[in-house]
Formats: sequence, C-alpha cells, structure tokens
Amino acid sequence: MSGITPTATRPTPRPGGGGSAIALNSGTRRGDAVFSGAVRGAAILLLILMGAIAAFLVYRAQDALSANTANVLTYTGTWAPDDSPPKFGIGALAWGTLVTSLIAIILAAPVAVGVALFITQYAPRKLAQVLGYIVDLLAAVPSIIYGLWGILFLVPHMQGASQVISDVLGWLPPFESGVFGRSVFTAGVILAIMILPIIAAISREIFLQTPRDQVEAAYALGATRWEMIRLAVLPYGRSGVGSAIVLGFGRALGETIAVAMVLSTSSIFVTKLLQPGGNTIAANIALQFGSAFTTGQGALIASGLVLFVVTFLVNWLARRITKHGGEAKERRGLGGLFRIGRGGESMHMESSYDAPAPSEATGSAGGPVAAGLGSPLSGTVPASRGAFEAKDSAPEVVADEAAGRGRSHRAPRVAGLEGGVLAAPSGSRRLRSGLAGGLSVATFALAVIPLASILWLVVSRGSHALNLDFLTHSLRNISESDPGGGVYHAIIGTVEQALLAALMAVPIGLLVAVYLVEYGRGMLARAVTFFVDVMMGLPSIVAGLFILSLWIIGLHQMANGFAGALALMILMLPIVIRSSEEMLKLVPDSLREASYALGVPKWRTITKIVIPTALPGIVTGVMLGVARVMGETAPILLVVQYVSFINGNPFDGSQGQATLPTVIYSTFTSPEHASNDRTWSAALLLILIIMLLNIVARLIAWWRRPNNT
Amino acid sequence: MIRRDFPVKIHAGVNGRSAAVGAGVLALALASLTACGSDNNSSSSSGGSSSTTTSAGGSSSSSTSGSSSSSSSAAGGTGGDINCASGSLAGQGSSAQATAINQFVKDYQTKCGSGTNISYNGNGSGPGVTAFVQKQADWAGSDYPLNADQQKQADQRCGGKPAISVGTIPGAIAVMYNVPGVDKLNLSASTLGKIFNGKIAKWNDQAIAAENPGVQLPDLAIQAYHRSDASGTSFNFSNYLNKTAPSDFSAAANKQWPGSGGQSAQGSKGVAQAVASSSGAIGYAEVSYATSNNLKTAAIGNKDGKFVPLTIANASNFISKAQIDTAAGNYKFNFDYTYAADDAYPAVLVTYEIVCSTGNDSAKLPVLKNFLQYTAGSGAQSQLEKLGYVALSSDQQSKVGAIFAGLS
Repeated sequence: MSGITPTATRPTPRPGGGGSAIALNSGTRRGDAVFSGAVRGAAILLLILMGAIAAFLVYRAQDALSANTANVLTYTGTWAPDDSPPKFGIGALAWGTLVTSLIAIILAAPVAVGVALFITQYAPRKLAQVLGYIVDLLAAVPSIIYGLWGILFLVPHMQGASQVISDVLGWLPPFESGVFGRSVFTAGVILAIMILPIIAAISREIFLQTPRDQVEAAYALGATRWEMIRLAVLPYGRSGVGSAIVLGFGRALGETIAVAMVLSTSSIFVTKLLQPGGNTIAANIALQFGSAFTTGQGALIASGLVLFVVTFLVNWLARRITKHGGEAKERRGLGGLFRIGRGGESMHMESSYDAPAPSEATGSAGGPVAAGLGSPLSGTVPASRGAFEAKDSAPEVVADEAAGRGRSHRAPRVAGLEGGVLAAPSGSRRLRSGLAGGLSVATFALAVIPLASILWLVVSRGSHALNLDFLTHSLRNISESDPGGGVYHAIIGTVEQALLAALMAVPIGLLVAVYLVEYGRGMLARAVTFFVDVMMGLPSIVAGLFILSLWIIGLHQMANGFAGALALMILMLPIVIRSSEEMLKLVPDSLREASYALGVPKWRTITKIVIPTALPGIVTGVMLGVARVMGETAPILLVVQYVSFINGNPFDGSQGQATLPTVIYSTFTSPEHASNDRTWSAALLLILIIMLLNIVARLIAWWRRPNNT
Repeated sequence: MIRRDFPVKIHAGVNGRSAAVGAGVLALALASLTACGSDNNSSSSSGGSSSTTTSAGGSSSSSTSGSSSSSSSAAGGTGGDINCASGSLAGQGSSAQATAINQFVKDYQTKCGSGTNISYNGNGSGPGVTAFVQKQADWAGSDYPLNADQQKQADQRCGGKPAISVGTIPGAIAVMYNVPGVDKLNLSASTLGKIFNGKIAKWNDQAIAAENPGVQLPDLAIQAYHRSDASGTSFNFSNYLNKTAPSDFSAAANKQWPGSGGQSAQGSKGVAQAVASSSGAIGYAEVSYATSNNLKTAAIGNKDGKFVPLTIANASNFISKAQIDTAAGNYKFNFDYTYAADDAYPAVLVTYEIVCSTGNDSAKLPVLKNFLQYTAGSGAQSQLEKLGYVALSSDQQSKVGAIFAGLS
C-alpha cells in the first residue's frame, strides 16, 4: 500500500466502473461512509461471534466442572457426567490425545520430509509436477475416508503388525504384548497417514522456494546433490518445515472421526501403546455427545475447550518457530562464509540440477491461490526485490487451506552457505549422496504404499456399485441386505449444506478481508487478525459442539441441514478470510492509486478495481473451502439428523438431511455385502466430488495466471 | 522496487471470465440439485422385498394376495393392519431394535407410499433418550425404561404430560465369539464377569476349560469387546452379570459399560464387526447382529449354573417370567434373574418405545400412532422371530397396541 511508486502502466478502466470520473464522484462521502461502515461492521460481527462462542463455551463448561465430583485431571473411571453424582475426567483424554498425535508425528514427519525432498530434488521434472498435484489432492481427502480404510483394512492387519513390533521391541514397556488390532498405536498410524500429505505438501512448497542462486552456488562449489541439499535446501527450509510439522501435529490433535472409528476407547492413562484402551478428546465428544444431558454437554464442552486451547497453543508455536527461525537464519546468513547476493543479479549457469522452474513451483502447490496472482517468480530469474517481497506473502495461503491454519513461513531472503570451497566429490561423498537419494526414494515408496492402498481400495470396491441409479436414488426402503438404492439424498444434503455455508461465509469473510487489507488499523484489526488465527485452529468437532449446544439445545432449533450449514460456516469463515486477504494484498497499490488519481472514491475503487482484480484468487480460495467442508463428518453428526430419504429442504424443521460422510459413517459397520458396496461407492463419490472441486479451483488459478493470458 | 505490470493484464477482462466461471459452477451445482432423484426404490427391489414382507407378515393368513400394493390385507392378523397416515416421523435410539424397526419402517412406507417418511437412527439408547428429551426425535427406542431423572426431563418435553416407556420389542443378548476351531462354548456368568473385567486373559484359561470339557481351547488372547457409547444392551448385559454373579461382576447395571478392561466399539454393529474381524474376540449384542455377521454364540450360565443355549424359544421362556409393571401408563418388564429353568436364556432385553402419552405434535400424531400400533400388532410381531427377536405374547400385543392407540 505504501511507498510503492506507481508504475507507468495504465490501469484499464473497468467497463461500467470507468465511465466518467464525475459520475463516479457523486455521492462519494456517503458511499464511503456506508462501505467502510459495512466492512467494519463485518469485522465487529466476527469478533462478537468469536466472543459469543468463547463466552458460551466457558459458561457451559464451568457449570459442569463445578458439578463434577471427581478429580477432573486424574479420574479414570467411566465417563458419567449425567449420573448422580456426576463424574468425569479430562486428564486421561488429553493424555490420549497427545500420545496418538505424538505417535503420528514421529511416524509422519520424517517420511513427509523425505517425500518432499524426493519430489523437489530427485524426481524427474515431469514426474515431480504430477506427484506434487497428487500429494496436494491427497491432502484434501476427508478423514472419514481414512477412517473407513482404517477400520476395514488396517485394523485387521494391525493385529499381525503389532505382534511383530512387540516381538522386536517388547522389552520396552510401552511395546509389551501387542496382539490387538485396535490400539493407540493403530490410531497413531492412521493419523500419521492422514497428516503425511499435509506436511509433505507444505514442505515441498518450501523446498521449491529455495533460492535458485544458492542451489547453483552450491553446485558451483562442487557439491554433490546431497551436499547441495544440506547446504542450500535444508537450511533454507528448516523453519518452514518445522512449522509444517507442528501444523500437522495440530491437525492430528483435533482429528475426530478417523480416531473414533479405529480406537478401542477406555478412560485410562495409556502407557501400553500396543494394547487397547485410551481415548482422545475429540473421539470422546463424537461418541458421547448423543447421549449427553445438561451436565454431560457441559463436560464435553469443557473437554472441547481444553482441546481448543491445546490446538491454539500448538499453532501459535508453529508461527513462533517460523518467525524465530527466519530471524535466526538471517543473522547466521550474514555471518556466513559466503554471502549470496540479495535478490539482485543471480548467476545464469547450466547445472546438472534440473529443478522445476520456479513458475511451476508456486503454480502447482497446495495453494493454487498463490499461483493465481502471486507468481512474480514466473520469470526464470527473480529480477527485483519487489518480486521477493510479493513472494513472501503469497505462499501463506497455501498452508492455510492445506493444513487448516497458520502461516507456512516467512521466506528468509538470505541464507548462508557455511563451509569452505568443496573439492571434486570423492567416492565416499558420492556414496553418501547416493545413499541419501536412495533413502529419499525409500521414504517416498513407504508413503505411497498406504496412500495407494486407500485409493485402490476405494476405487476398486466403490466403482462397481457406482452407476446412474446410485446417483439418482435414495436409501429409502432399502435394507442393508437389499441391492440397489443410492445416495441422491446425501448428494443433495452435502451440496446444499456446503453452498448454504458458503453463502453465509463468503460475504462476511470477504468484507472482513477487505476491512483487514484496506481499512484495518490499530486494535480492532489486530484483534480480528488474532481471532481469525484462533478460528483457523478450531477443531471441527468443537464447531459442531457449539452449534449443538447454542443453536439446537439453547435456542430450541431443529437438527436440520441449516444447523449443519451453520457449523460448516464457522469452519469456512477463516479459510475465506485468509485466502481473500492474501489475494487482496497482492493487488498492487499502483492500481489503487491510479484509481484515486482519477477521482474515484475509495469504496468504488475497492468494489470495482481491487476486488475484481483479486476475484479469481478469491473464487479459488472459496472453492477449496467448500471442498474442505464437504468432507466434514464430525460436526454434521452432532447437528444434523441422518435420514435415508430425500429431503431437499435444509430448513425443514421436522426432518434432517443426509450427507455423503454421514452415509458412510452410518453404514460402514454393516456386515452385508450390498450395504458395503454402497458405503465404498459413497466414499468414491465423495472423493471424486472433492477432487473435482480442487481441480477446478486449480484450473481457475492456473487459467488466471498472468503469463497465461 | 518495481512492480511488474502483470495485474493490469489480469485486470482487463477479469470480470467476464470469472463471472462466467462462477456462473458455470453455480449452474453445475443447481443442475445437480434439480436433477430428478428418486425415493422410489420399489422398481429395483420391490419384487424381493415386498414379497418377503407379505410372506412373513401374513404367513398364517394366506398366500393369495399379490405382491402389489394391497399388502395390507396380506399383513395378516387383526392388529397387524397398517393404517396409513402421511407425514414424516423421526425416531432414534436403541441399536438393538434397529433391525426390526427398519423392517417395520420399510413395511409401513411400502404400503403407504411416498407421502410417508419415517427415519429411525439406531445410534444407541442413550442418544435416543437425549434426542427425545431435546425434541429432536418424535419417539425414542431404548433398551431401558426412563429412570426417575430422565422421566422428569421427558415429562417436561411432553409439555408436563407424562412420557411413557412401552416395552415393544423383546430380544436376546448374544454372547458372540470368534475363536478358531471352537464351535460350542459354555460360559457361566462368573466366567463372563471375569472375562469382561479382564481377569481372564487367555482362551485356554482353567476357568473356561473347566466349563467346556472336551473342547480344544487355543492358547489365544481374549479380546473382550463392549460398547463405547451409551447403550441399553450394555445396561441389560451388565444387569444380567451383576444379578447372576455379583461376586465376579460387582458393578451395577449401567448404560455406559461398567466393567473394567477390554476393548470397545461403537454400536451393536460396531461390536459385531469387531468380533468378526478379530481372532480371539468375544462381545455381546442383540442376537440379530450375531446372525447377520455369522458369529457363533455361547451358551451362558443361569443363576443355578446351568448352561442355556441361545435360542429364541429359550429367551422367550425367560422373558415370559418377567413381571409386567403398568404403573403410570408404562409397560415395563422386570426380569426375574433368579428364574433358573434349563430352557430359559437369562441374558435378554426389551426395547421400549418412549413417547409422549399426550401432547404430541398434531401433524405427526397420526403417523406416530399408526406406525407404533403397527409395530405392536401381530403383522409386525410375527416377523420378529425371523429377524432375530422375541415376539410379545398375543395378550401383550393387544395391551401394548391399546397403549399406542391411546396416544394423543
């Protein structure tokens, strides 16, 4: 906004928006006042909404906590908040949540980083691009699919696997006697598989942004590929990858449905990883909300608040790592032996390094939004610092919708190469490089196995019942053993609820984003930014819990599609705000200033120049948000009643609605073949819809890319 | 510090294109919404389903009726007639009765056509009662009657008028097991108590071997599955264990499984699936789930230590000794766990339909009343045995039917 010299290019007047400056000038003051009032109002509304959520949850939790007769931290008996006297404990749940998430992150992080390295550094260019897309799409697969795969495929196989683990590691107390399919370890494995694509997608994005000149410098010094990675790629990406890992951890903490499906729950402090038992906060909410009365709801809300706070702290930590890491590296960079020029002239040289061109780098990433407008890197050589600055903010959107929250990183502009001039690679150095390459390929293969197995299972088992009848019929009057039937009722519910959510979230979100970018100053803007961050980390089950306890129980509304849309709206709002904000920021000030210079009032500049310019990016962000909420299961389970017949009216007070995830959830345990086929087909259909939305969103971003027009 | 001019290039013509994209997406979405979907699944499956219905419902009366819409006449006995009413009805609760209720819903909807929509969500007795109290369900299925605390809240929900618990669908709780090579298993209540409390860890434990002379028991870890959600089946099974073998299962009956140790799964279906998929597993669920998962069931011990195999007749014998409590408009079964005949299977349950006696939503009352009457009538009850439940005696059927007929 500030300090950028307008360029000499003419902003083409928008048809309809242009016309004569005099026409535009009329009613300036009032229009500006109304517009700024509206955006400020939206920002304040957001704060009120967040305040209401927080106050309500705390209020309800407090009641239950004061009624509790057991020690909330150490109690490990039955979850019985509605008995008299009420008894429940959250400590064991929180411990279980941490344990499963830790297992997940220990398993997933190294593999994910290896995958990202393989894709960015080792895979052939064409392949890398394809793999990048696949990883991004996998990151969008909803958790119900992972849960389905977990319970029907992984759990039966885990019995043998955990036997092997306990044979090898049985001398360690946590790995004693593993003969069970369902354990916290199994839950951890599922979570690991779920967060792997997310961490890999963000890490890949970060590795791709390694400054080209540093890579070339490392090669120029005679570094092998592995040494180049160690000298240029890893130091550059360290903080970004660190925060990606923490974000993955945050995601694992809040995961509900997949864990609820595979975990054999009991309220104990889990110490034996391979034995059944343990529970997580989110899974406990999903299992107990249905039968909870007043105190029970309060108790679940209290546990939800604990989860919320932990997730928030984790995400906050991720941002701290990024910031801190960035600064530290900058300092180290300055003191380094070699200083690679800032932006400036970079060396043109041929090297064996066949990295994808930077344009693909940003273009194909988890954040196509970034690609849409924010690819100032699209030239082979970044020509100016301005380009680098633009890059700094662009990829953040990536992390936002890929990982659900947070900023991926602040790209440090300088990284140092430490170490002296390297001689021609010796045999051992070559060997080490080869080993590292082999290891990276191996991790990639390791990651591919479960993910390919999921896709294969869903496609192979889901495809034969997926036909036109399946798409146009409901499950009314279909017993589990009957063939036929379909999920038309669920498709309607899924689409309607997601669209309703978007209808509510997009206008509010866009106004808040406009406020933050164009008007935001001082306390209010800081508060709004903070609360958007908080909302980003809101576990989806907590959003559902809030709508359930306030809207349905508190205000006596019905558990219909609209209630579901409200919960999804809460989840979508921060995604829309974040992506719109980033897109609006990318609109160059020169455009705004040119518009002002023509005498166009601020509000018309925003509505006619700024927003249309950023629109493709915003549309992409919204579509990714829609795709994300379509796969939500946990909040929908809480607030929408499942029905097996077609109900096209989400506002109907007497009937609920089905959605694809809830169809899967309510049929996955069936022993009947006919029903199983339908479950898998519904899963395949859900994946197809979400993939389609993702691909279309990416196409819009790609299509609107500047050098594409 | 030079910004390239790319956005300007974008800016030209952005509106048209992105608007087109938006319109396209919207049109796509709308097209998918307005495309004609159908609730009418009869064309593909009516032949099979309605004929099974009629033969089950009206086996005694005749086989003369066609498989077409005149199935009401085929539904047999006096109380079994389906009186149609249109409207929608939402019920949820006990997963133990889900198999039966879903069949009854199907009968009812098939007869009455697309104007009648009944949903029953078998997500557990606990959630059912909660949803009923929160007015999210028009009636609830629960394997235990309302307790005093719940009764108060339920009465409030019914506008101060009493909510009633009417035992409608009795069933038996199967102890299902998945032990390779073992086809017949006897387990006393005290052994079951030890298994479900984690006191016995292996299938070849002495306690089990002593009750099963001649059976080759493998050296395999026992995986005891219980319900992870609030469940009426848990309530009744823990009641049986606690009343029959209090020394080995001291915890009182509870809808949240009161035992210690073991593993858990959600819903009757979840438990059955878990048992079916893990070698060495044992679990409990209404017998229809054991049947549909092809799981073997154990003969369990009664108060006198005799082993009674699970058959519908044996369960029926035990249920027939229950005391009926009709106070306050309810129809409750109090089981007599001291009754120890050789042909009385003691792990049983009755699923109660919980409704408002008066003060029901007038728009829903006809379909609520008629549907529940159908479930208690002979047309529905005579199907129960085939579905894996126990039918009410004909005397009980008419009494329960009368209660439902009096709903207002």
